[in-house]
Amino acid sequence: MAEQLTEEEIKNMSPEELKELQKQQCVFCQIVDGKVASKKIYEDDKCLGILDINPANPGHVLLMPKEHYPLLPLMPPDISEHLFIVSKAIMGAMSLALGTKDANIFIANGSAAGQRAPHFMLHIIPRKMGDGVKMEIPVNPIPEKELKEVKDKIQEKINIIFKLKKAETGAASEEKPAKAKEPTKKEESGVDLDDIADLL
Amino acid sequence: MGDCIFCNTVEGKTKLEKVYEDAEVVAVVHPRGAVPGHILVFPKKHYQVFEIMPDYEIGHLFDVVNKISIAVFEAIQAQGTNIIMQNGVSAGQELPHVVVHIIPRKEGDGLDFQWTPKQMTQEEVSSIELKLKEAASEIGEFEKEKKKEAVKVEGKEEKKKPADEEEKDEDMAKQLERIP
Repeated sequence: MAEQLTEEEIKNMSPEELKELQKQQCVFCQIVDGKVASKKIYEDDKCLGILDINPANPGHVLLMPKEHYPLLPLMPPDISEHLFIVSKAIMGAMSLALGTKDANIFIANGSAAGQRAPHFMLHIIPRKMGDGVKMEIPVNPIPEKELKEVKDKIQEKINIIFKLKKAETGAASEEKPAKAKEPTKKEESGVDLDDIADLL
Repeated sequence: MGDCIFCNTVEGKTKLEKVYEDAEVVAVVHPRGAVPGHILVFPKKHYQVFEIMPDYEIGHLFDVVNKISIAVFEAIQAQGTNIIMQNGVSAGQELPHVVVHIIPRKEGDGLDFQWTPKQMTQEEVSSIELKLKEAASEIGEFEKEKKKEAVKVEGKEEKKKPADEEEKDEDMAKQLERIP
C-alpha cells in the first residue's frame, strides 16, 4: 500500500500511522526483517550488525537497533546502552578477526550531521596507520566570551534535562548536575527532535 | 595519573569547566573544539581505551552522552550532532583517557566527516564477512550491572578492590603499549 498513497492521504495520517509508514519504507527495517539482503555479522534480540556496503575501511560495521528509531535521542535508554556495549564487543571481534585494534565509533544524528537514512545506526570503523580515512576532529580555539556563553546555555539545558529525567523515573539516581540551578520546568525549546527526524 | 588532563579536570585542577558531573562521568565544553558547543564526555576513572571499560560503565557513559546531546540540540539550536570516539592512535586518539566527542552540527558549518568508500572485491568482502562473523559469534556475555555492591557510593569509588580489578590493571598495562 505504501506506494499508492497520495500526498493528501499522508497529510491526514496520525503520528502512529506515519511511523508505521516510515518503517515500511525504511531499507534498514527491511534488512532487519531479512527482506533485503545484507552481510550480517552480529545479531541479538535488540540489534543487528552488518558490513557497510560502502566501507571507509575493510570490516566497517553498521550497528543498528532492530526497532525503527530515526535518532539516538529518540531511542529508549536500554536499547542505546545495549548498542554501545555491543559496539565494544564488536571492536574486540575486529581486533581478533582482522588484527585491527584501533577503531572509530561514529554517529550522525540528523541530515546536517551527515545522516543519510532515517534509521539510527552506529558506525564502527576499524583503523590502521595511514589508511587514509579522515576522521580528525578540527581544532579551533574559541574566544573566551563565546565559550562562556555557549557553556552557560548548555549548562542550563543539562540541568533541566537531568532533573526532568530524575522526576520521571522517581528513583533517586546518582546523577547530579554540577551546578544546581532552578529548573524552569518546561519542555519548550527551539528544536523539535521529531522535526529533525522528519527531514531524513 | 598525574599528567592526565582529564583526571586533573575531574579533580578540578584544570581550567576546563564542568557542565555535568556525577559519580562516574564528567562533561566539559571543549575550549578548542570543532565548533562552539563541542562537548567532551569522559569517565572519571582513567581508562586508556574503550575496550577496558566495564560494560555497565559504558552503558551509563552513553546514557549521559545521549542526554547531553539533547541539551546541545536544545541549547544552541543544533540541526544535528556527531558523536565520535577515537580508539587507539591510528583512530586519532591523542590522550590515553577514554573520551566521547559530541559535536553540534548546522547546515553549511564547514565540517565534513564523510569518507571515500574503499573498493573491495567480492572475495575480499566475503573473507572479511566470514572472519568477523566467526569472531563475533563469541559475543554474548555482557556485564550490564556491577556485581551487587557499591551501588550508592558517595564520592569515593575506591573503597573495595574487586577481584576483576586486578585483571583490568593487567589489561591496562597491555593497552599502554599502544598509547604513547
